[in-house]
Amino acid sequence: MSDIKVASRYAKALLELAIEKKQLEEVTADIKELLAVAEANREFQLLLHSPIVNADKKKNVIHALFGKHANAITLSFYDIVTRKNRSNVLVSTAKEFVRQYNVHKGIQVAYVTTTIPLTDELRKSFQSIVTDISGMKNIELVEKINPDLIGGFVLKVNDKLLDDSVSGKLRTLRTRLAQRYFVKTY
Amino acid sequence: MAQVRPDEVSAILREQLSNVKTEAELEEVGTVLQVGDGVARIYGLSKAQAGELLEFDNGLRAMVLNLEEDNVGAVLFGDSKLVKEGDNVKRTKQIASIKVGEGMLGRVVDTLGNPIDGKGPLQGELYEMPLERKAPGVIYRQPVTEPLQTGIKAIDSMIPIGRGQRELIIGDRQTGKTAVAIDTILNQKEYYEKGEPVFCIYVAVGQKASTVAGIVSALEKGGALPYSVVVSAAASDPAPMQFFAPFTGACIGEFFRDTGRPALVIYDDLSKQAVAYREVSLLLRRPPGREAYPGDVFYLHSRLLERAAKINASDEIAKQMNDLPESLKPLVKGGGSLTALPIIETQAGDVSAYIPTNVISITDGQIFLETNLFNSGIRPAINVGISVSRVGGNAQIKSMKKVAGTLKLDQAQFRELEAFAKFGSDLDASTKRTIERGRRNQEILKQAQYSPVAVELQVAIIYVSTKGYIDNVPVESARQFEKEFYNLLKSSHPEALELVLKGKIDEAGKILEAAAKDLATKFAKK
Repeated sequence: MSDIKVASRYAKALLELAIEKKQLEEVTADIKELLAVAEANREFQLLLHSPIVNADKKKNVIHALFGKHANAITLSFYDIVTRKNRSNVLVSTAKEFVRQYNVHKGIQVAYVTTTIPLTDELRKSFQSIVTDISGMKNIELVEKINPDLIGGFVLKVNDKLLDDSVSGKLRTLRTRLAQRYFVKTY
Repeated sequence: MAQVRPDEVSAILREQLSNVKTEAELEEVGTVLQVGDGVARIYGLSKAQAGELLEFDNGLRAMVLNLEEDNVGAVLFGDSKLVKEGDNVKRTKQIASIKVGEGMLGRVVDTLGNPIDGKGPLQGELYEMPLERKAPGVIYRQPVTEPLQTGIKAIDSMIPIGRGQRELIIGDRQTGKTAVAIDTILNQKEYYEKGEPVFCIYVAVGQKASTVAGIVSALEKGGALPYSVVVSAAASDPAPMQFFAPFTGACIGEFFRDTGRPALVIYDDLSKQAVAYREVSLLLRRPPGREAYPGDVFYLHSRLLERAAKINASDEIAKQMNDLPESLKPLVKGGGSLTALPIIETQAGDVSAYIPTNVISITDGQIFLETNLFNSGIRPAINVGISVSRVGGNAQIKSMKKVAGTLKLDQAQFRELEAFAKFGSDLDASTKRTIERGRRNQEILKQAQYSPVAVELQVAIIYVSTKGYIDNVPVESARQFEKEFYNLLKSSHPEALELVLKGKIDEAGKILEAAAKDLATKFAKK
């Protein structure tokens, strides 16, 4: 949890440097790649978190993975993070970087969970809802399909959540029915 | 075949179903980062306020206590096993508050104001009252002038309590602290029957559920339940529930106070509440201080006890009172009061521990109960020498004030001389008389549990005892005399009791003297 404090500082530094060097898009692409790799590969995450593997080895692994095509700024950023023994916050730094990038670019990310794949028409209406909520024009929808919802959708924008799913309603019904005013409990 | 539970009646189920929202609402949510020991750290909820209630998906509630740079620290009002890392938490956008109303009378509720006595939902109109509310300012207050009769002779005569006062009941375990409080509630029945009830709130903090059940049944048997509310946070409830329970009690009391009626709240006991608060504070990583209590444990008790007050009799002034909840505003009336009787349990009579000294300094006096008195048969085991009431004297009825002055003096002299008498040396006649009278007074002040005495009878018995009209009654039969004297007065001399209530003690005195002397000779012969 205190990851976020550290991560935001590293991310801010990287973002500012990338903007200054006018290589923001390249760096962002690299960071997104790192996130994709980390998400797909649990062992890579464990390696970053492991206090036993020393910083040099971690650096070598990162270079072997991204060394060929990554931007020089990104690589030196990875180096600094590993050298300072902060490789455990690398993934959260990357997430934080993407968040700050979105703020910088004025992009609003929204997460939509539905039971069926979205059509273009639905996508448009979701985008307008997100605009209503956040007031931002540039909207990036992250779509997810979860049949457990039974029906409806769940839309998440920053701290805000619009739950119009059947499962959500069933849950409120369940908590309401669980109030047992006619049972002595003391 | 499955048994149908009482809450499965179709009408109730239908009502519950019809109340479910079908419209989706935009909610502010956060994610649980860490949970355990009744405390959760939550990421997100960037707009959450301190003291705000949160709700988890499964209906469990929590309250925000810490606001930090990147997370929110909240205490759970339930089992922390019900919450997992990554769970959603939503804001309720309400500062911790409960719904209070007349319907609470006769009920047992938990810290969140939910009834737990199995008698169904609360009836009647309910008003939203915040748990944490600023005490009324000086302008809206009045000095304490009306008495709150406890029905206990030793208290009403020598340590009188006024409506709006805060009087601490302090003593070791098993000295009868709760008994004093319960007797006080039972004594208010008289006023309930007269149609001017003093509403009583009993807050049980960290007690055994069986003890609470015992108290509720004692109140029920004594006919005190119709004007009482019991707030229960048992020992098995989570620490946050325990340390908020007195605030729930205060906020129910404020409802009656601000609607112009007298109320009495008993916090049983604040030492357990302080322990629960210490637990929560340490889990939230607040720095510990003396006896590992957090630095604001004094403020915890002072802000709670400040809410006891006598409100100005004028409706106009009362209506302008600070921090009135919106929903209550149309009902506000002046002249209400909230009397607080906090209870503190000491360890081996140590009143110089942290929490006892704090609460002693906050309250307007204290009633000391002692183990050795209790064991020597003086019950209620009140040590009159060190018990005080700083404001109650103005609240005594006129005739009681007169007789109590003599009693206090007599007893002080008696205690001083009693020690001498133990050496068995020869005593002069006047010393002997003082000691003998003191013994009778002491006997008269004894009282069984659940037997409060009406104030006019108290005045009568103390009058005849301090005047020496019963000096010829043997000490052993003093209590029997008391009983018969009460019966005699009630049956043959009700006019004397009337006079006592009117404050005409001199006129009543003649009747009392004649009756007492007459009865005393009967006892002396035996």
